[in-house]
Amino acid sequence: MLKFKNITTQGKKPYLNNLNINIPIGGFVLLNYRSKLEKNKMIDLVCQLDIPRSGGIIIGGKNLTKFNCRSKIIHKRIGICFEDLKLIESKDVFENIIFPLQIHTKLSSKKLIEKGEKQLKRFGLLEKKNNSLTTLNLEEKQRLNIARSLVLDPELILLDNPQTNLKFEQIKSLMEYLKELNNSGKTIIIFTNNKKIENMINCDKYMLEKGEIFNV
Amino acid sequence: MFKKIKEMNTEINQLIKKNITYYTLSFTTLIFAFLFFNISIISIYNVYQSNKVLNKSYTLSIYMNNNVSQNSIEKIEKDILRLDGIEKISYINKELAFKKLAAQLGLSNSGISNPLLNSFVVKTAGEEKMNNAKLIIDEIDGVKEVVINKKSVVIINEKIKRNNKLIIGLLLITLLPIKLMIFNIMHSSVVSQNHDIEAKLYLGMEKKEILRPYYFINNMKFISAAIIGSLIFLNLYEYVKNQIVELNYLASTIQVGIVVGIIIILVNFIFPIISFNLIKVKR
Repeated sequence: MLKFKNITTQGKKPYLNNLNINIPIGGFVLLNYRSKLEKNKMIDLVCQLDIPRSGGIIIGGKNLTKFNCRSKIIHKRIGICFEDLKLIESKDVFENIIFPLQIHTKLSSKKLIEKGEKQLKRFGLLEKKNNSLTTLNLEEKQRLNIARSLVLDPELILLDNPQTNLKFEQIKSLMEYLKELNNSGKTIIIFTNNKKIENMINCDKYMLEKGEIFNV
Repeated sequence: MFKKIKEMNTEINQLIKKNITYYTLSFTTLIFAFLFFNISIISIYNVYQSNKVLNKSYTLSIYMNNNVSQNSIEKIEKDILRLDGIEKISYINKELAFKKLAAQLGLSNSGISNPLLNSFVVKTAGEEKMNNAKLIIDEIDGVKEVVINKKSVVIINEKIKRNNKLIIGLLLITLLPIKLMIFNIMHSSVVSQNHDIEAKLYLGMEKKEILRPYYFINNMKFISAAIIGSLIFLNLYEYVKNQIVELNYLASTIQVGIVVGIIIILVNFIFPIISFNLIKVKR
């Protein structure tokens, strides 16, 4: 599903240097990292916000480096939960949750509302549907962030420190939900150094260090 | 297409609603900035116009020989008019000049022989052209003497120099900071939204699509503020010009309106192009 083939990023001292990883469809991977910059670079590459100096990134059989511009078709297949949330402050909770659907699908307003509400309900945010983001606490914001990353029902789910601001019980139920999704064929990658998460799931573990990925 | 316009409209409404105080304040500031921008521009324009008038007032007095016939005087006048840089020529008949002088002095001119000569007063464009013309006119048959009033030349030169300094001062002290202020307001109104712009980029939206509503709001704000600021300025200009009689040397309001109009149209054409380069966001 996601393949980084000999990836070296731009710059005199590239963050990623000859990085290789191959995550098959339905894979569940936990990625530890030493440097945040290296981890963020990997996310930038997946989001097509950066181009590698050499190597190829293959998502769902499509080589991203061959595209001249950002491909919405690929973006539609990826759901990302960002460490720094990246919620849109000018929009309310509901508008934030349906935003990926608005830009990547052509669903009718009725369907958008239906899907958005269903997702909010799943993450316990339906009562806050019309609230502005300023009224949410950090934990609710994180739940919204995770909910938004899954709203497109993506094939590849990338979660960057999903445990941030969540209580132990919430992390546990999130991991169970992710396992369910994985069992239904979704590919899941979690960037974290959190030991609780590591102990909760049994999956392939990798370490991102000095621009390369090692099997742990 | 209509769906896209509708979406953009919703996006614009959301942005304005969310940042209403910011937009109101920045719009008001922009109007004032344009008001001062116009004041600076028109002050410079008026000083420049006054310089142009001064530049055309370098004067030569040309005295004819006593025996020159009327035909020769007309020929000399035509020859002078053909010279480079001659702006205006007026003939002064010695009889009329004498009568005028006598009247001024309160004398009776009967019985006194007229000591004056027929002459021309010539206005030239610039000091250099005046000196060149003097050299040529000196050689014309029938011309007795060409006189330059050196004192008046010095005064004109000083006035022109002072005006040039004033133009540079106005340009540096008022125009540049105002221009910077206008562009800073426009720039900050997008930069302040950088967090949302970046979030949308990461969620897969195209940069062009994301920035479209920001550009639209910015350009509309810029154009409306420019028009409102200019209209306020023109009204103030007309009022001040009518109220203070000593200011009648200022350019007419219509003339000023045309200058302001041209500048505002130019600025409004340039701004949307520049605004695309104002924001640096990732790919």
